[in-house]
Amino acid sequence: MKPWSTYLKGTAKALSAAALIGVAAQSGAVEWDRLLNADKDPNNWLMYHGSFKSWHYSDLSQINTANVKNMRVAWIHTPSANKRGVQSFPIVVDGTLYYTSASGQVWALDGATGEMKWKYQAKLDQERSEGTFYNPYNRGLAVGYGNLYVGTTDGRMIALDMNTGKVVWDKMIMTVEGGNKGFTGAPVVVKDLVVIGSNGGELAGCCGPIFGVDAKTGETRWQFDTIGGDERSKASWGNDSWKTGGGGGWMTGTYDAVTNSIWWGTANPAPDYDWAGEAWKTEGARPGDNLYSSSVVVLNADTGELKSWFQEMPHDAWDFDSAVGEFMLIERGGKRYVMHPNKGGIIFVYDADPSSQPLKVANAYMIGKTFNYIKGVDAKTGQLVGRRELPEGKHKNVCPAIDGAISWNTGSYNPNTGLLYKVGQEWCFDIEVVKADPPPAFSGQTYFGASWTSVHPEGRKAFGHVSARDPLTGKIKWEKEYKYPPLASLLSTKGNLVFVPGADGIFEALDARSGAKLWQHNNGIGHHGGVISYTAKGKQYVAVVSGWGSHVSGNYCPLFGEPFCAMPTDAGQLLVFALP
Amino acid sequence: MLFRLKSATAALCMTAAFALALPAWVNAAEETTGNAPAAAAPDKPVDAEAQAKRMKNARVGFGNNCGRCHENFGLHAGPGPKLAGIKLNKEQVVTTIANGRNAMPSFKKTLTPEQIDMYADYILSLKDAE
Repeated sequence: MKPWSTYLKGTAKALSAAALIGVAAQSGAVEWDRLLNADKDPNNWLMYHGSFKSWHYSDLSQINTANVKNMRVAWIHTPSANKRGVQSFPIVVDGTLYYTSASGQVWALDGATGEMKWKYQAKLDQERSEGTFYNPYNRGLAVGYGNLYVGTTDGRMIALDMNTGKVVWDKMIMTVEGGNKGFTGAPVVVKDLVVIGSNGGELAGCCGPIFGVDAKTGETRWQFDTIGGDERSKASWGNDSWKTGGGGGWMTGTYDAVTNSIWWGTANPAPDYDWAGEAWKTEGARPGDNLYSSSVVVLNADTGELKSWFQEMPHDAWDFDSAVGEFMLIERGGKRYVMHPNKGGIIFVYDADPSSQPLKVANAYMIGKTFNYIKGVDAKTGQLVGRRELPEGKHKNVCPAIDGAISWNTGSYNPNTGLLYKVGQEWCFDIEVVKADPPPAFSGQTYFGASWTSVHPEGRKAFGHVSARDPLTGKIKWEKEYKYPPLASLLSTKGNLVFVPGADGIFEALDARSGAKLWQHNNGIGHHGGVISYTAKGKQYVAVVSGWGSHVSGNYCPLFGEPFCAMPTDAGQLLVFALP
Repeated sequence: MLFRLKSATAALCMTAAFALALPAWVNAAEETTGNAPAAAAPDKPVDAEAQAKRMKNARVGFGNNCGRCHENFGLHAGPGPKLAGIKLNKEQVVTTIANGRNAMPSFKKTLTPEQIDMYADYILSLKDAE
């Protein structure tokens, strides 16, 4: 690990890039310097993960443990398209809140009152959008240089004037050969680029690209193919199976200015389940490790070139993507670390220095409880221990199920308590892996390789938990169990609060130090989106999106019954709370 | 291709019949996926052994393509509904697979007409045991 001083050059280089962009400042405009320092700007929420530290933490404390019991609904906004619920993270800039809802909608609202400023409706290629497995939801926006940036389910990126909602540019980014892929994840602005990853883990057809797009013009400046993009990757897919291999990077990564690196998580290989079983190194649908699926990749922010990687699930046999979640940059004892969760319920802690290939693992620990797909993870190397392969045939009570012990919702790190708050979910499945004919290369055909039934863990009902723990060691400070596993992101604040949007519609605030429940409000429908805090006219607000209908939420009716069987999947809102 | 065509004439007849039912998306699938050539209509086996083999293939293919939502090969509800005992006719099932429904995506660009036809037969063959 290099000392901090060594990195100052890199930071200065990153800062100077802002000057090159040359976009005139305007009211509400967000220049690079402001994005780079978003962690010091608690009045706004400037990117999906809050800041490049990805802490999902608010340094606001008007609302705190002493007065949160008085918190009330300040205003509500109901979008006109909300199939599969609202799944996005709002962004707030100088009192204006922006958010996306389903089917290409973008909203600009007054952050204090909810009054609508403008609405944008993208004209989507409905045939392509509706032909994808990942439709019609959208998980958020990026802001920079007077624009908002949003990806679409038909593979475009659109820049909107943040003051008017008018289109600045609208570019087809992801052309496809045959298959249906696009964007559902939020982009992130990195210097003069907008970076976004494609969906497609289950869809046969390479190459699961991540794009660096010129923020001013919309031209693609670089493309990193998560599978089949280099010889190392191709060599790890026997029989050229990378051509039907899935991949992608469907959630939002982050940027580390110290090393000028983009950290991004990648999706699972296709088929999700490989009939080869123990013989996967030489046989099966995709013989080999299948780089860089279910991996963390570190890219040069200017060129998209691969600096380093770590494959969290070599030859992923369980659909435990690395695309989920956040890359939390944490410094301790003069060393810099990157914390990243994997769907398999493992928290990987990396050395933030990407100069070694693969990345150095500082620690790895499980937050899942009922897992049996592995016996554990080697804390020193990050390697899986005691894999349970799933060859062709039937397998009972495999845990966790495809949905993972960690879903795509983000955790939160609070620098005041020094704790990581993270959701875990616990259910399993009975699965039958099939030996299906490979679909045509690049076809975009769904390619799961199995069917299954979600079941409860042996000896008890499915459940969830929110834990508070040291992010680097994994040592638990407190843990709260939930009858219904939360599927939404978490927020912690300087007011020593942790906000948990529940699956059953209950939105609650916990004491960040003890886990004690201090407040709750029934939002009337489940949550599986974002939660943020900001100020407008000097007053603190907490905003959360609601709505139900994601793929993972589809398990709740068969597992738990009501209230989930009756819960609509075409409703959702933005709810904003404040003190009276 | 799962089934070999007995003759070009038969193939053309089947293609024409299928195209009459769903001309727009058949054409779209042919143009887009490149894996549904004009002479690729289903050549339905008539004897029991061939039918059983076809349903076995259909089950594997259905599980592979659709089993994420329609759990346990369509026998169990998951993110998508249980399909065993579904109250739809063949044409309605084919149309639903092709065009999607509610949260279900459209499959007309990624599955061949042959696959869709076979999966429709498979779905309608499922017995509602629950």
